[in-house]
Amino acid sequence: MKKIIFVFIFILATHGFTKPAVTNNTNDLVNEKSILLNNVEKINSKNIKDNLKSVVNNIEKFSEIEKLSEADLDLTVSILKALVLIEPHDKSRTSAQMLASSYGSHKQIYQLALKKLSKSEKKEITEIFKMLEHLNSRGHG
Amino acid sequence: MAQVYRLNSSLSTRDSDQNFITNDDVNGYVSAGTEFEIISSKILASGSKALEIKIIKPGPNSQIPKFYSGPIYIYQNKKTEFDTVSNPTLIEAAAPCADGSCNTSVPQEQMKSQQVVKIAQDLVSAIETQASVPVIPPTTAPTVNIESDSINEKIQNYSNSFQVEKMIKWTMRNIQRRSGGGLCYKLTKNSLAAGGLIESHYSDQYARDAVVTLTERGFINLNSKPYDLKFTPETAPKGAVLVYRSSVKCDNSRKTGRTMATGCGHIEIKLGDGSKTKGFKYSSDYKNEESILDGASGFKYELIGVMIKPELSKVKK
Repeated sequence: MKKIIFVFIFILATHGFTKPAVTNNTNDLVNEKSILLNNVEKINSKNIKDNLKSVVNNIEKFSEIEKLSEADLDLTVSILKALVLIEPHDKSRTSAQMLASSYGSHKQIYQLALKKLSKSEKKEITEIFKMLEHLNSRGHG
Repeated sequence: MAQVYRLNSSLSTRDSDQNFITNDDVNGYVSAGTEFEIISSKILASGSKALEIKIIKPGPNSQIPKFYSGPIYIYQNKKTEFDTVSNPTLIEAAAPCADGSCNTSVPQEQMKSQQVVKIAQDLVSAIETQASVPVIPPTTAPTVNIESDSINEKIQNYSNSFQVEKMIKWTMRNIQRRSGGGLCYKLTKNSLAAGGLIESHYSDQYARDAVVTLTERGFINLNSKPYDLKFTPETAPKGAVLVYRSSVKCDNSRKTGRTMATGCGHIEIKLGDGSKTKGFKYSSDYKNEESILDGASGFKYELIGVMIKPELSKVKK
């Protein structure tokens, strides 16, 4: 009987107590992503000029997400659309270059997101992807 | 109180004691005359030393990163000698001797304080030595002439020089892109080389390092001492090379992974007021009407160098 109680407590300790911490971390990440999506989705060609700094910061936040999955497709699409919107205001392409590492690690998601863009958006993003490929293989000049 | 030393020559400063072979960790330089304390000393595989230092008083033209609060390292090989600076504790100890009762000990202390401290080890790798040699060789060190007329004349001569005209012409013909591609430093070097302002394409990698490497090639930074002219990109003279530090992390060469904590920075050339360059005022790997500071990501950059080569002649007629 004692053994059964001990095993029960052990299982409770290893599963019951540790699970919430993991869930919290996952929840935090999900929350962060949804906040980011919410922020980026608001950006359009009319308000971009007033939100340049925030868009750059949001792109940087996105670039720091270590794991992207298909569940993040909407967010990735929004980020690519934001890149297109910011392009005329960010001639150095600093915002685009921030995504070099993220693009290198999650090409599949980026390619899926590319398919969801309009023809003109696709053209610009394809060119940016080429630049990111170059940065990932050769580094900065 | 720790011993204070003084540099006899300039040295690169680094944010890590791991690599003294390439310029990857170089974050600035300290010039001759810099006074510092040694916090710790680590013997490298080559037998030379990596010294973590606390800068007490930077020498003229020193470039120490403004926003960096981490450790600063310098390289010390057999040839590097540090003078000791008169130690305040010795002066205090000598004070009771003012009546002349211990005159004999004073010269000894003074001699000690004037001795050159040699801490370097015998085995020094040639590559490490080359990578950490003074960033401003005595032969190319800028003449410290801060008379405004003199520097204004030098700026004018530079802006109107044959080399700058040639560089701008080459840039207008060959830099076609209208947006950046992460190659600002490479193509800026191409422009400078085309004008004969540098001899060839040298191999340091990050744009922010250009303040040091261009100084090594005879350029001066108008925005640092002794000139301190506080140029902005808009007011910078024609042909000046504008060097920026950035807070944007960037990738480490040939690897995916943004391991550079301090950012690669940016570099661009001031083409002029745009009147003779189709409205373009700046170029790097792209031509633009506005400097990087005026762009959407401008808040991520800080201008750290407005570089010109002071000894150029006027345009050949």
